Amino acid sequence: MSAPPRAADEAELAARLRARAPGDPPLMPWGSGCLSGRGYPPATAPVTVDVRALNRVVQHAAEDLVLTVETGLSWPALQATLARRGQWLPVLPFLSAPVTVGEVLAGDLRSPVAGYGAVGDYLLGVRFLNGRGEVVEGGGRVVKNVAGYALGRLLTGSLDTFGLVTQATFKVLPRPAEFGAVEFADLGAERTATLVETAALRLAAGGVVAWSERDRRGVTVFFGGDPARVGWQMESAAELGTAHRLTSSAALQRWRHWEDRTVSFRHPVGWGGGRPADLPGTFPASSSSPDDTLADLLRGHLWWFPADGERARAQLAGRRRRLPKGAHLHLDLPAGEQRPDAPWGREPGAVLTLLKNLKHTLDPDGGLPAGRLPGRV
Amino acid sequence: MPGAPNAYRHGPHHQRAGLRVRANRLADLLARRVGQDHVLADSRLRAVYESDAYTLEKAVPELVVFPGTPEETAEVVAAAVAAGAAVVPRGAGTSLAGGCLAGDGTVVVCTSRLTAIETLDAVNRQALVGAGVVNLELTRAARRHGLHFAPDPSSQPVATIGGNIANNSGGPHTLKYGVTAQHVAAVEWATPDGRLLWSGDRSPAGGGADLTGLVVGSEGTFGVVTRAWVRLTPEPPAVRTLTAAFPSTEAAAGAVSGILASGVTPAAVELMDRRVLHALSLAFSMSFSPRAEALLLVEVDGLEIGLDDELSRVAEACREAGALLVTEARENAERARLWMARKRAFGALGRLARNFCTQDGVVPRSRLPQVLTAIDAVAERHGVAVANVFHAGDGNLHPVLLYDERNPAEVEAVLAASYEILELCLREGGSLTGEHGIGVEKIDLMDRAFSPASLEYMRRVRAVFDPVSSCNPGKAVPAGGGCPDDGPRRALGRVRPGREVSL
Repeated sequence: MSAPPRAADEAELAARLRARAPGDPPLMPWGSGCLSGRGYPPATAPVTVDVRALNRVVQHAAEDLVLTVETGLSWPALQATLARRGQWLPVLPFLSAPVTVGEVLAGDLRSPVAGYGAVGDYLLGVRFLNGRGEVVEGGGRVVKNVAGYALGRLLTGSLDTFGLVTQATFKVLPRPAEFGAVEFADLGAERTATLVETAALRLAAGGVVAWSERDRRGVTVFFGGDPARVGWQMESAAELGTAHRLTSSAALQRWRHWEDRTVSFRHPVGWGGGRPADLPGTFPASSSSPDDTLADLLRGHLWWFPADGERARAQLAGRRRRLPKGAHLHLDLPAGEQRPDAPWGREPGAVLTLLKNLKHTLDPDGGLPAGRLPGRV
Repeated sequence: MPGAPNAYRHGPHHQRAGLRVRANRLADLLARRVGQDHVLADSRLRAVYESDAYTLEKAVPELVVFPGTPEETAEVVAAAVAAGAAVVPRGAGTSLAGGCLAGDGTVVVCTSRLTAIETLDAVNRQALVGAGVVNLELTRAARRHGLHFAPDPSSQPVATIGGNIANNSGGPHTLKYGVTAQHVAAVEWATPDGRLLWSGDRSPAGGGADLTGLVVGSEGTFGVVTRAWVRLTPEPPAVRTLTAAFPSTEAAAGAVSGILASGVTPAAVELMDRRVLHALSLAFSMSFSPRAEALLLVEVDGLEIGLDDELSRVAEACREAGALLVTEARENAERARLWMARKRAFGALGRLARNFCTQDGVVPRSRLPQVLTAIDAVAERHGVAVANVFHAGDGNLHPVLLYDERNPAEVEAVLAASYEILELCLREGGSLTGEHGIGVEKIDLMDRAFSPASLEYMRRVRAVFDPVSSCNPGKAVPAGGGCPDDGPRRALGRVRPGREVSL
């Protein structure tokens, strides 16, 4: 596959949209490509444009704890910018894969260490192009703002269907001085529930991750803060069972490893969520199962890593049937692989008409990708 | 046009005025759905709903209806819209921007009977609540499980969850815990055509656009919120609270940057100026340092370990910014008293003036000192007294302009000063509103905050949710294309640029 053409800046991207004639294919931004296998195939094959040249740090108002960047910037570069001033954005903070800011937003990508929230919780404002190449803005650059509709929320997770985000403003936080983690071998459902309750209510954990990798299973609790606090948290957590304490670097290595796994480049990734208390034991590992799994037990996100695309498609329906009530599982496959018939674990239901009307009204000329979202919106 | 059932759905406002002659018929229809006791048609009773907490503007609705279930709400909305009325959702009516302002041709749909906490799932830290559940009541119910509902506006003893959702409410503790949007998993609302829709469900599975996040903060312009799945937050194991007295408001505001630079994320940083302190001393017999021109109320919370160190760093930052006196509230009773004072500060200001207008703007935190100085200058130029009590940690200003509504000149001065203050916030890179919403109050300024293309995009979003322009018209996002807002502000002219008020 030849490399897509590259947009030098927002103006060029806008010009490409304005230059579209009726019936021309829509424009789809390309970053790392990690979302190319998500959802239904586009209704019309799009023209892909590499947007990674839109990679400026527009403004880092460090004393206001606000950062504005162009969305072609890689997420690791965003975090590195913040780290230089002792700050972080605690969503996928240790991701090393070259996923762009735009892809994190378009896919609403999340971390297994999810106690700090989702990307939408930190998004203050967006600047984006509508299907006609017009610049639209929502939100702003201050940490509280309810003027106008929350357009950033509409765009988050919607795979560029309603707009191509070119700039995003985030609120950020002081970066913890220390990190740590405590790991438990498989505790069983009841003791895991006790661990989660303790971690959430008493220990202020940054994340509780149930995992199965190859034939090992366990639960890892992550902490971040000042050294004295992290030390106390780890000690307190270790009292809950036979525990293995991870050093700061080992904890971060685990954290980074899992975040990188959740991004689909060359391997299929099942992802979704359910009620946190229902998740322990959702993906029981067995010695005969080659599939690794992760579950964030604070917020309820889950991941499944099937060995290959063929296995993923074959196992998907069965995996979904075995989910707890109210949980959903979607499936991303690497670009070029045959997609499942039902990539989304949840379809819109009664709001489908509203979503389709939003698409039709906000992108009447079809300049933006369509058909990929649940309901083929 | 008389006799045409759909004549009032579109077009200029005066066509809706003809609804008055059919209000009795609509009242009977609605009474058959919700019960006679839950429809207010008498003009004296309707007058109670002539304004919300934004009392500068008043307009009596045609009818006020109190549905008892989400299904009744949907029926009421559909019936009202079919009769050509506009629908104005109302919870407790604590909106400070005229979000509940009604008027000719409108039916207020009051959610105060939707008070069920249907599910309180402590294990998953979620609750399913009716829109009429009072914010503080939800927290009280959750506290039995070591949880609370984090958004805590000053109005929380009366404000409803539905109102919190409509305005994406904040409060002092949003500095650490975030605004309402971060604590809502899914919203149910009644659409103009009488359906009940859910934006999602309580699962965090994701997949597709965040409809919930879009509905939160839409100020009732998409429909009437009936229920929501909300997220509950663990109560912090420990809390520390201090006050810092400063020789000037600017010095107090300047301390905010220092506090944040210390690496601490406080739970709250609130500022009260001399006028507010004076009002509090009159109202609650509280005493403060006589030299204090401003007071910061700062709270840190979380695990016990390390909390004293955090408080020390905050105290040090305050001293470095020029604090005269830094005092820790060592007893729970003292802490409670400080927060009672803070949350009742607006009421206490009633000791100083017959009326007050609470403004709501946001600026970058680093600009607070300069902006406060500029606000003083604006107030002085217009001959208006201003008091400041606000969420300094967020840069969310609440300059409170004191006046007597019986004096038209004072009213005009307050409106003019408010307008200038909001323009100032925009010039500083801030926002027109941090938590009160646009309502009617600031709708004229939206074209200063957003480009034509941005406003058009928002109008298109609104048109999808409300194709017949019947949900809280004249609020949140201005109608475009040169058409006057089809809403309840027909009786209002304009000052600056010429708006009048109904006196």
